[in-house]
Amino acid sequence: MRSEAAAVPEEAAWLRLYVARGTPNSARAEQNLSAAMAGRDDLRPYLEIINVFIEARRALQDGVTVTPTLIACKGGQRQMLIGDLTETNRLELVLAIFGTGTLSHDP
Amino acid sequence: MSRAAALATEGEAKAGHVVRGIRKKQTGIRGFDDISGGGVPGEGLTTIIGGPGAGKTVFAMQTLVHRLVEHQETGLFVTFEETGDRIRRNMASFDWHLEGDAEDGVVFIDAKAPVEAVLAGAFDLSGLIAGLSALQAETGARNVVFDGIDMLLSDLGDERLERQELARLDEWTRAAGLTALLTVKAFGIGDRDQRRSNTLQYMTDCVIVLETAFTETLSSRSLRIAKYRGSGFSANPVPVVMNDAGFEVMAFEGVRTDYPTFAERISSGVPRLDALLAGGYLRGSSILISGSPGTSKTSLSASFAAATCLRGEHALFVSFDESAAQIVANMRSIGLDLRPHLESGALVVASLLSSVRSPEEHFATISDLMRTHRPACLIIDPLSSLLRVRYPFTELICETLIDHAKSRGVTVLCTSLLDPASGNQELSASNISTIADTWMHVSYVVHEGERNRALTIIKSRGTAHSNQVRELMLSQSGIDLVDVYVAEGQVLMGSQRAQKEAAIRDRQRQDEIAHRTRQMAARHDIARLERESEAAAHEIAYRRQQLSLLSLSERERVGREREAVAERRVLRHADDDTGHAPDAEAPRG
Repeated sequence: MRSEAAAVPEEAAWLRLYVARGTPNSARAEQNLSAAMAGRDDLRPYLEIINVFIEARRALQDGVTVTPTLIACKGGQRQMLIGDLTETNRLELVLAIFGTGTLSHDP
Repeated sequence: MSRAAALATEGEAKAGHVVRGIRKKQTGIRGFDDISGGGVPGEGLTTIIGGPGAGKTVFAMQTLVHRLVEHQETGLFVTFEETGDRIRRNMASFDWHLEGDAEDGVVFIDAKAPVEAVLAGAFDLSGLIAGLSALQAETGARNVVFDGIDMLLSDLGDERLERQELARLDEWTRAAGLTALLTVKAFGIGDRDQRRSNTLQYMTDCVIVLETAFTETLSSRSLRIAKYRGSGFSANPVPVVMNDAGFEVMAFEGVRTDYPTFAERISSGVPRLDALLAGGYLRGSSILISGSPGTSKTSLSASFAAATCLRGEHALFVSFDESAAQIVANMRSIGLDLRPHLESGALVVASLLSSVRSPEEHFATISDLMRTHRPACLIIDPLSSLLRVRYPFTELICETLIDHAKSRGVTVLCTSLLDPASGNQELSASNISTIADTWMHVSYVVHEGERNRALTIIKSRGTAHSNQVRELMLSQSGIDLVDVYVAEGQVLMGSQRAQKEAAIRDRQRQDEIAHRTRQMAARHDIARLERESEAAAHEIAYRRQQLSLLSLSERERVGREREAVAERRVLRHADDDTGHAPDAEAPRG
């Protein structure tokens, strides 16, 4: 099985947070993301929180092997943040770029 | 059959067999299942530690494939370093009979972090475990490999977290009834790596360490079981090879095999050598021929190979010095034609380069050749090529090679090239001489500008062999051994021996002439005496006859005289004078 994400269509734009619901790291990630997105209602429609215990195969297909993992996809590019998102500057940078333009590989 | 193999019946192996309370799973890796007493733990974590290229991934992959092909157990392969496609390509390069749909029995999960991934805090393996649980439910997987998991663990950035995640993984695999293999790069780079090593040592049930030793030109792999919780195991490092069949462990059980024994003598190909050895080499024995370069070790070996083929048996000739064509051409010069045996397939010559492969790789190659060719005799010329470089297992490998061959009833002939600079050439032969049943030494004897070959049988177990040094001679008619002469404390060979032989022949001729002369003189005397004796006998007979005649004549004379006297008396009437009547005379006749 290949779990690397397939090529992302140009028009695709989404934010996915993969969590293992009930684990401390995932809980912190949800909190940190929620805090970072406060006041960013424009981003909320793109956000999807996925519990790997329920959608395990989807996580593997998206190349997610550890939790929590945030994937931002826009303009044919993907950006992945691994961890509980306590590195808020990196999270904010990804969200800022997501909101304004095309993602790069190095936030 | 080894102890472990004997325990592992097919039925047991299907589900992993139980050895002294521990459920184990055979890996299918030749030799490993022997030294581990049956394979890896059936449940929980087994860690495989090794440096780059040590064979960690191959070990894990081979185990997974074996469980799939031989036991129909699906497996999951989680890779943290290489892509699944690359692993799959590597897998296809081995001769593991993994064909068609069977490949689907191993599911690859690329867990390598993508290039766009950035660490942004603490994480755990819950996602991975959730994904694998789903896959296990879907495929019924029984085995899982985490290849290069140290890459992921190091990203955790905290020893406590590493231990926590390992514990989580261990708990999950046990709960899921999975056999899990973790491959981890060798440690020793820093304190952190060493601590992770320690963590793995106590957190996993079985720790397998793969190591690579380097010489100036070659590398040599070895394997060591550092830990096996709840099970006995062989802790000594053992050499390993990787070839088309995959990973192979040289399992040396430390107990000499009980060889089949034979009473049959088989020809060495040199009739006079056979005579010295009470009929030839003992079948199933090991023979070592040591000697300096050019002392005819290869010729003796080739003669034995040819004799084997002429008996209708197969011979395997492993040469580290010459190619098959060279050997055939060189042997033709001593009247030995190996071509028919090569063409018939009775003789296989494997020409190997000792300096290109490690001894364990050569061991594997020769073992494979023996399995496919099934020779009655194995020749390794020279075995010392394997011993030349000081590898950790060189002598062990050579000894085991001979041991394996003898256990199959194969007669093994090895040559050992001695260092001419060595002070004591006989003693400087390899340790193999101690296990060789027959040890012959071929040396040069240089005297008065001549170099001649001398063969000595140093030992030959179970054989009343000659203790005499023989001169070994090569000619177009083959190899021959001739007696040498000892004169004034020196062994005479070559032209000196020829001179000595000529002198002895001269003396023998002279002795013979003198003897014949004396015989003739005696015969002459006898004839003379016989003639004289005969003449004397004739003389005696003549004299006797003469005497007889003389006696007869005398009697006749006396008779006549008596008659004359009587007649005179009658005529003279002399009786009247005496008063006697004529009738009173003595009776006549």
